[in-house]
Amino acid sequence: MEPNHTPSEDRNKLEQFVRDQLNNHTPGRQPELWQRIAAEQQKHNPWLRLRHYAKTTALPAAAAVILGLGVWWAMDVNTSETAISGLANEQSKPATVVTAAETVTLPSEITQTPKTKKFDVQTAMNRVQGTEVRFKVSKGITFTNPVSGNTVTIPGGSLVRPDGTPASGEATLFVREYRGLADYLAGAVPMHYGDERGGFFFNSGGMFEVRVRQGGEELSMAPGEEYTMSFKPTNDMLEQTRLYYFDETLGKWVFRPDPEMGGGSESDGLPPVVSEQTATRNNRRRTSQCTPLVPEFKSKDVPSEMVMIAVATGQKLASGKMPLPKWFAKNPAITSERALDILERSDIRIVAHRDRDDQFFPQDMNGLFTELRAFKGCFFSASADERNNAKAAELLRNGQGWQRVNIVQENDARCMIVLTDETGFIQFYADMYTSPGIQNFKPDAIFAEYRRLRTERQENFEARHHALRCFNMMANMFQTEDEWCMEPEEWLAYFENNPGIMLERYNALVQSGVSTDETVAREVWETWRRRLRELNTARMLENGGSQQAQYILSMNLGLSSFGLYNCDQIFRLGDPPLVIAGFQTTEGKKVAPKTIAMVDRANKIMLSFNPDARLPALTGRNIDVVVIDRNGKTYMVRANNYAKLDLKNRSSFVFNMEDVTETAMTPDGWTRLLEL
Amino acid sequence: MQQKGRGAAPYYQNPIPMMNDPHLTNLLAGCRRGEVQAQRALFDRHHERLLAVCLRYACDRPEAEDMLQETFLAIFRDLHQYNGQGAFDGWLHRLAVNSSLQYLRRRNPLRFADDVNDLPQQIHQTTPHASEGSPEAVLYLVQRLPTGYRTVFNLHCMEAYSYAEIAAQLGISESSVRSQYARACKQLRIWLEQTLVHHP
Repeated sequence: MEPNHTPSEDRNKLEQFVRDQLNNHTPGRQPELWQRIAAEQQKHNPWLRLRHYAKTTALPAAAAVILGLGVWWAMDVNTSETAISGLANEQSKPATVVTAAETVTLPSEITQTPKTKKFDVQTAMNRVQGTEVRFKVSKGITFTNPVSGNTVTIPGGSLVRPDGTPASGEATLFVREYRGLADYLAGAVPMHYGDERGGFFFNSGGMFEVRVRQGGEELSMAPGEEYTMSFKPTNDMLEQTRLYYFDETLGKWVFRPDPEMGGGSESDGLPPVVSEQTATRNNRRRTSQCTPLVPEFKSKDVPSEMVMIAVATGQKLASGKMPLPKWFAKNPAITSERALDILERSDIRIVAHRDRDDQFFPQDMNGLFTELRAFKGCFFSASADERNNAKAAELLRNGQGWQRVNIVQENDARCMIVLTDETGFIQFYADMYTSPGIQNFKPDAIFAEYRRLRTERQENFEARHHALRCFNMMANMFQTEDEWCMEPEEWLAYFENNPGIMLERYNALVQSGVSTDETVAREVWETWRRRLRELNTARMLENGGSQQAQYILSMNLGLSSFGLYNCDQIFRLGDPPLVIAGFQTTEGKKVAPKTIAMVDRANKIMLSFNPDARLPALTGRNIDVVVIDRNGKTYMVRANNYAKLDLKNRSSFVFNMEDVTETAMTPDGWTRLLEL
Repeated sequence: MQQKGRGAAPYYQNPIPMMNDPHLTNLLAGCRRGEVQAQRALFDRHHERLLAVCLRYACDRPEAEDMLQETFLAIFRDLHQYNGQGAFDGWLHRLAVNSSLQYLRRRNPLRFADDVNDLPQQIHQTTPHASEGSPEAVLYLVQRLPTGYRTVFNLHCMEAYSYAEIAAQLGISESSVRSQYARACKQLRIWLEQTLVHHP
């Protein structure tokens, strides 16, 4: 059949269609792309400025010089030298005066600052959003962050330009806050501090960055002037918090004693250091030492038996032979009855007999009610009365799912079936039939087997629950003092996140016979009971267990320089073995790190390292290793993989890194990636 | 290159006198002075449309984002050459096209002889966006074309350059451009028939 249009017409229509579609395509706004462009463009901006100001300033100056030369030619040669010298002096005077003024009046931190920054917080792969506000320099500004409530106040007329002259006109205030692990990771700012005592890690109570810009220049506070930052720390339980300032020219943090944060009273002028355990405890919002509580026993509980069960269960859980159920991890105090009530829910469907419309079977789609297998080859038929009951018949016919089924024998093959869902239940009489061909149909035996299987299932569950309860109740006696400060749910999460440590702990207990020898178990329990009594008595005498926050209100910090500040405690890591770390992609391509971080999500601790630093070998701990390379690509070893690595007795190790650049572009991305 | 009229003029060919927009004038002055805030404002104002251009020349979004980065670096570098006489949007558009072509030349030298071997025979229904007649679906199909086909197709169909101009720009013969374009159209038609419910 002849086509009714030519190939050329066809193509025109196609072109028009594609053109229309593509012209209508809107890819959506991508403001985050600016970070990449800005980082690259920053290298070229000095050249743009030079080109621009050369055109607008140097050319007129050159024209003036040429004009002056013309005048000189027109004048007497004898007087020309004086004239040139005078002109030169006039031209150089203002510059000299300004330079002198800089030297005399500007604070040392400005005059001594080299022009190149070793680490530029503002652009170096920093993906944390800031806020910009325009204001008149003469009037100053008070800006309150609507999210955090922190307030910056810059007095009017207190700003100077880089050359030391007073600033005027409009300027832009830039404020950026870092309020958690996701922000610190997305900011890619080093999070470690060092002084003559060694290197320490920050456990941050929040950071803030304040800058004022005008026409591409950064303004400073005039000598003697201060701006105030009213800052509320993200964690008011941090002990020994101090203020630190990031010196971008040195590329490192420096201690900035501030009386508002308890600084300035140090005898050696150095900030106090806490242990990793204190930092972890503070992150769990506790300050003072914690004391475990005496277990609450039931009347039938035998402590030594419970110790044995606890140790055996702990070993099974730590080795992965027994999974830790989520329902228990979320609520360790749940009773067996309550747990059974919650968990004994499945999806029961009424399945009709293939040939007999009036017969059915309550099929458990999830296989939870294992006792139903006693009715293999059997079907049920509702009694005539029930079939005439329109509502019951409809409920059985409409295929809805039920959560539970219970079948109670009445007499011989007659029984009552109870179906339950979240809205209520129906119960009806039914008769049990067997499929043709099955010999020796004995209803009593079938119902007896059903009851036996049902009881067995429920008893198995209760035994499992009892084992978990013992494990949870007796856990304190095998814990470190820092673990005592955790809530039971927190500790169970910690247990799951640190399988290596836990397996080592419970293996040692099993080997010493605590799980098998009742005498040993009783001795362990008695020792623990005595210690528990002593601990509680001592704590009561000390301070009655009161816990006071160091500060709960905002701190009003008076600051004289703009930049990045950190309200932190610093901690040391103990003395773990160190390994020389290499990094490669999963394809075997080498990764050259610019920053390295190790994140302990459960304890909200982040360790950051220089690219050439040796890393601590935290074998068995759930640690995420994050590396950002020189091109801004982000790589990661996930915590569950790190925990499996054997770093003991290794002097070097090459980590296989997963490329997570796409996800880790923003703080939100980090939050999702690390499930923070 | 001169542009030939082919259908309705694209948005960027509508002459918008730049001098009538004082905000843009200030913005460009700031960019010429190397002010980051002005550069950011210019990016905010135009990046979406320029990204749409780059997406047509790229094979995927990451490549388009790289092209966009090069486009903006070129804009800030060459902004002093823009004298305010023509439409600023048109100037930006041409820069985006040129930057994308440069990117392709550098990263992925344009190939024409072997391209036909790269063509997937079928675009599956399950591919993203390809089950509806939407701009995203069409863009997806254009991006699936081999680099050479895609470039020729974009320059002729979208930018309205003649075959001779494209041949000069890409350094290949006019007949080669013509055949590449015909093959690109043919392939697009096949894919559209496979995937789209409503198509011409």
